[in-house]
Amino acid sequence: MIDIRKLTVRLGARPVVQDVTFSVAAQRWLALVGPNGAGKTTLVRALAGLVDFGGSVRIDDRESRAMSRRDLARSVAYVPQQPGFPADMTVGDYVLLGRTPHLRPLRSETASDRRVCADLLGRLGFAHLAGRRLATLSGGERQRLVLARALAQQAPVLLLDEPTSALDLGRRIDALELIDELRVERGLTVVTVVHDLTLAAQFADTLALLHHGRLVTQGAPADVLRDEVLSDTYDATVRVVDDHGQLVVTSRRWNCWATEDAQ
Amino acid sequence: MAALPGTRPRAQRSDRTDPRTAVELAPPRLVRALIPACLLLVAAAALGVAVGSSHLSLLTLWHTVAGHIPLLPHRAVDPVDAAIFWQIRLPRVVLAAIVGAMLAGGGATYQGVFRNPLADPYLLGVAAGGGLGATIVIVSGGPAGLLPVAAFTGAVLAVALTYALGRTARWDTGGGTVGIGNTPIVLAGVAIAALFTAAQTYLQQQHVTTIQTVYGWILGQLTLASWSDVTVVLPYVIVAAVVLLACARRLDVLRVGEEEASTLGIDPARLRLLLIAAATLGTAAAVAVSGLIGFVGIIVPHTVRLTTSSSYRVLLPVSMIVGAAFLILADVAARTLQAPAEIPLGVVTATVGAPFFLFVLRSRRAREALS
Ligand SMILES: Nc1ncnc2c1ncn2[C@@H]1O[C@H](COP(=O)(O)OP(=O)(O)O)[C@@H](O)[C@H]1O
Ligand SMILES: [Mg+2]
Repeated sequence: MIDIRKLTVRLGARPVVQDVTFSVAAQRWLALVGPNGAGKTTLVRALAGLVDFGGSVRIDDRESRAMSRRDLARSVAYVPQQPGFPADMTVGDYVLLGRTPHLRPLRSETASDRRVCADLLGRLGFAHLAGRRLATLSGGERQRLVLARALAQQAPVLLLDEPTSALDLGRRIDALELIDELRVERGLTVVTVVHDLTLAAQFADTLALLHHGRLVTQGAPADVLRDEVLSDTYDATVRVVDDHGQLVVTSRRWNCWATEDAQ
Repeated sequence: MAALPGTRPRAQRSDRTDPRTAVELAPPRLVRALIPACLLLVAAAALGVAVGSSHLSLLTLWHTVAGHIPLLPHRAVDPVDAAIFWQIRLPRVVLAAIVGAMLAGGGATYQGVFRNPLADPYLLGVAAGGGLGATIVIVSGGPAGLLPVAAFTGAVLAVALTYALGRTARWDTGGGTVGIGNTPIVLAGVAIAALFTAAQTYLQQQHVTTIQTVYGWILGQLTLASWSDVTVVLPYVIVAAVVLLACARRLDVLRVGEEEASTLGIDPARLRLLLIAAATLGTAAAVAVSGLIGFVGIIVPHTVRLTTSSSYRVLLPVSMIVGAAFLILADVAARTLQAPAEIPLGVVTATVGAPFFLFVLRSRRAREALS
């Protein structure tokens, strides 16, 4: 469970995230949405302990500021938008890095650490790829692999910054479906930054819409995805369509509907 | 609700993620890489003690060593041969091994800390500082015993300055991250090295009579190696080696980048300080007794990386052993190729090392690894 109160982040002199308050219940999925530069990445980085912030962030009722790096890494697994993939590291070694916060000082992985990672590799479809070098993986495989590393941390909270941006239409659904299955299977609380509002509406329990560092609105997808709110925030002509009970967010060229309506 | 057109059944989507698939994850293959490295070291050491202006046969070597081990059968050995072995050859071979191990281990460590394949143990000013310290003693005609102390002090001072200046420089890493980022330290190292080298060159030019001695030191040599040199450097190098090896796994974590490493529970800034401190003490001690031997810290770790593994848990220990063997062999070449004259060790490491390294670089395995 994540509880954020009056979160403020300044980068340079500029407040990039201002007075953001929301919470995510345990085992729920919150999607952070908003235009480019809204502060989504910065907010997620604050949750991961990578930037200084004002206000309070509580993870499972513990103040994140008071946690050691190691403790935080056991509570929060973070996947940046562009993770580092050392070309000549093997798939197996890469996933084992996720066990770092669980290792005893100066020790290597134990047999049980290796078992956790081996199970994850099997679960995520890398059964025969453990010895492959990262340079040889496709975009979709990398995406699943970095998820495997994050899951190896066995943290209750999973933060993903635009996990699907490098994937094609079908692989996006696959990836989000997988995240959802794992969320249910492992009881994870998930926060993702997603640009595709239609997909966000299908997978997330809650959407939080950021604009200029402030929380514009948050709630169930149907409450957040409204024509006027989105058109204002994204500075575009946006229309939300109900397609067989599923919200679909469409954007059009300026005046496209104006001419239609006039006829 | 009716199924949407084009909807696939769920089971079909998840079939490639079968939880029952068994995977085995083996621990790092350290032993498999260590065995050939150790054999190489033993062979190099045997060659190192046997070869020289007076040749000692392997049989003589055997009886010399066996004579000091209780219960082993041995013949009496010519006391001159015994003295050559114990007082001249062996300390020289041992010192070459210690220096080679330290330079190779330091190079591998810096390549990991700075995530830069061109990093060598002299990156932060050890060479420039050591060179200035040694030059001051040589041109001022100070006692020879002071030379290692001055070189060591100069080297440590240069790196301390680099770290202090580089660390305080504010640097935006792009994500507004606090206190992370290597670039200012590397740049401060460039500046400090330039400054110290300028001072050293100036002193050297002002004292033409000692220029050959200064050059001899700068190009590296083990000519006067003795057991006392070994006892001087060994404690520093042991401490450094223990710290570097203990941090090997954390260096592996650092390979994904400092920021991700810190979300995995590592403190990159503290790790960097610890490793710089350890590598500097060890390298400065090595430089103090052997001068500036270049190239070892670059080619040995890369050769090991290209032929065994890129994991620091394999790379660091294997590099140290191979570095020891490499410098013993280089020193054999240095003292035999133009005997009775000696070729500067730094010249040998480059002329022997560079072609060999190019050969490794062009191997099929390397091309795969670097692709
Ligand atoms: N280090 C920095 N210093 C100053 N401003 C920054 C820094 N990093 C990001 N920003 C600014 O913060 C704002 C939010 O960035 P970000 O969180 O990456 O947005 P998003 O992920 O929503 O696209 C942007 O306007 C960006 O220019
Ligand atoms: Mg972003």
